[in-house]
Amino acid sequence: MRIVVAFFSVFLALAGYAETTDDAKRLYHDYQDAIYQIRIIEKGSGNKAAIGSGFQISSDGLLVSNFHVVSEAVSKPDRYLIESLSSKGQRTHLEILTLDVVHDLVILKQAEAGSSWLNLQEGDLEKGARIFSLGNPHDLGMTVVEGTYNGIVDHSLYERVLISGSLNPGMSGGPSINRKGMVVGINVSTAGNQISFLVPVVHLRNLYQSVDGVVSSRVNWEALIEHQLVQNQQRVVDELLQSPWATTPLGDVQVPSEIADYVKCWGDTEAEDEQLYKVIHRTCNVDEAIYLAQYFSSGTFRLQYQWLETQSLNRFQFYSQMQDSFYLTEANNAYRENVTPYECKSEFVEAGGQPWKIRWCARRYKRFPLLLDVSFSLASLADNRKGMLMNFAMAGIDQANAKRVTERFLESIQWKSL
Amino acid sequence: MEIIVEVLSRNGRVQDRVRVTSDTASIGRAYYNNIIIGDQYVCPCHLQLKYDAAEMHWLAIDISNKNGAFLVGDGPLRHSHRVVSGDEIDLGHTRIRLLLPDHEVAPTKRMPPGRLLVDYFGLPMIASALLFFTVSIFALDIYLGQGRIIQWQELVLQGLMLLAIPFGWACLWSLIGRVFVHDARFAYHLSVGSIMVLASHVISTTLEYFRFMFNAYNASEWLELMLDAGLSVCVLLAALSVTTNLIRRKRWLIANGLTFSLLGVSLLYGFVNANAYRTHSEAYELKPPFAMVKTPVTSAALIASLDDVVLTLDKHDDEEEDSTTPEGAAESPLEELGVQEEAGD
Repeated sequence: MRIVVAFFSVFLALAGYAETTDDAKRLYHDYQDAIYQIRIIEKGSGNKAAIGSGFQISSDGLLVSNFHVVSEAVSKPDRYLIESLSSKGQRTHLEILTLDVVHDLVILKQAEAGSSWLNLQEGDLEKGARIFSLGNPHDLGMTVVEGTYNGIVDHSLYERVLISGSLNPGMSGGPSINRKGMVVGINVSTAGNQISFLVPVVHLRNLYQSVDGVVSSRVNWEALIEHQLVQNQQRVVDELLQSPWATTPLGDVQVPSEIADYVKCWGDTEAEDEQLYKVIHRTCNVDEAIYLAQYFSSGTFRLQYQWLETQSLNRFQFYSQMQDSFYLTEANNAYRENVTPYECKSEFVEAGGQPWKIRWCARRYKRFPLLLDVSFSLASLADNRKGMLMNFAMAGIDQANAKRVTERFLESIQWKSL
Repeated sequence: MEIIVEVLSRNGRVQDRVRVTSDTASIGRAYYNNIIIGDQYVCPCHLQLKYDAAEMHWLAIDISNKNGAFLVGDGPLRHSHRVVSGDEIDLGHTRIRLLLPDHEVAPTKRMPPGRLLVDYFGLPMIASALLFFTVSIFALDIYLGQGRIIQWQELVLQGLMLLAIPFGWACLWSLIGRVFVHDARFAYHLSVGSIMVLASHVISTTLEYFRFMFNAYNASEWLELMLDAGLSVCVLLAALSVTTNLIRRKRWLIANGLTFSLLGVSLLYGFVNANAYRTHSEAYELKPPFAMVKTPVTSAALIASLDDVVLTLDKHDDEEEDSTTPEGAAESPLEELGVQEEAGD
């Protein structure tokens, strides 16, 4: 009897396997016409400068892709144009209809609508459900990748669906669908080793509902992106400041660390034999950011702390070490084509019952002048044997909010003993 | 009666000066002459000087058989020329000057005041003391900058490396001095080299304090540029004044011209790169630790003053500048999927 049961189990397992592979085959066959390769064409050479994927979501030829696929064409419309390549090899010119820079989505309008499209999933999918990601990785041709749906990532600043499956460059903007062929998310990024992320379909539905279907060549995309970024940072800062910041001790100072559930702190202590002082590091990161252009991200922040203490260094030596570790850090990548140089101010300030030296720096986004990158560093100055260095870097924040966050940060510091 | 014969080099410098005390003297290439000139265009016996006791003057008589003698400013020498003090006569490629003992000399020049300083710094004792002082200051600085256990060998090695700067400087300038004025003055140049290293260290330490205290990073950058330029001018002038023998006015002018044009070039460089000096995001000073004499402001006052930073930012918004990206810029752990660059496709 045991043998029979075992045999039956093996049979069931094989049947299940056959069913899933058949699913992939069926879904690919049914929906390949709704999937497109999105190409950014450089006008001068007439060749593609970047590729991604996209899919049709309505009968009137609306295509969906990621904003980061088409970002070059948004910022430099004179240099680039967007076109789609269908599974039958037909090339069609695309116009941007609307975009959502925060959730990395764009809706494009095709000159001629394709015959096939995908429907969006209503409601949540169960964790562990099998899904199929479609796209054109590395320009190798349309592929289907099986994966597992793991729900919205816990504690994230920008909602993302975690899937276990291999997304690869070129698949961005492609759909991930369930076994019924309903879109559950839009392929967006990967962290390697079968860890990949989708934009939840709910954001696409929201964006789709705002579309009136008319392509207007007069839309100022830069202004729209700036508006979305300003709204987003307002939401993030409001949420951040709503609750009091919980502080945790580092050395003799209570410092704000995991000030939101999406902030992740990491620590390390540096105390080598030859070194006459000890440094405790703590870095609190937000692992998410908004893509604006290649080498230009925003909408994130980072906290860094270093606690230094010594028994054997004199005050001159100690402050030399403090100075060597006192520098500006940034929360994002940005270069001179997108941001101005930093402008800084130094001041001595009283916070948490201690005098500090603060250096507060800001730089402006050239294309989105309402937004700044702000980074400020503080160094404690009262004790010659122990000291704290702190840095708070924020990317894509407006002036008023930068001041609010700085104020809250200074209020949150508390020196335990003097 | 006496006459003085000066043999001049091509550039007018006196090579030889002979006092003739007899009534006659001969000048030529042969060794039996009173004044011997090693010039192949001069005859074995080229010119004779003869005192005419009756007339009480000297005569210069051309006795050459080739090439002749020429009175500068007059032409070929007459058979017997009556010498006037200061006459210059060309023999072959050589020029001689004839002077009577009562020839008036230029008034005595006062020694340049810096000469005393040159002698003072040229004393080996002073040079060694300055060198020792410089090395000590640096050793102290290295010690105060250490956050780890430092071996004495390492300190010695760093000290020796520092010594290379004043020693290199001294070697270079004494070589130049040896070539140009036959005077090396190694100890003097060693002193100047030590002072240069010391002064540049004092400047940078002072500005560190300046930056610590004030929100004036641009001013401090400018000040540093000016002070460094001033220091360069001073040490260059100090070295040049000795190696070119500044008692001569022309050389003094050349040395001044050289050093001030260097100053000019460095200031011009500063002006051209003025924008690069305007913001210095890396200047984070915490030293010296005892120097905080300003009263800390309250956090509310600080927050109110932050608008100034953004205002300054707006003022410079239109200017194109270098944007530095310090180390530690965030790298997202997530790799964006879609955009695959196709280079030269």
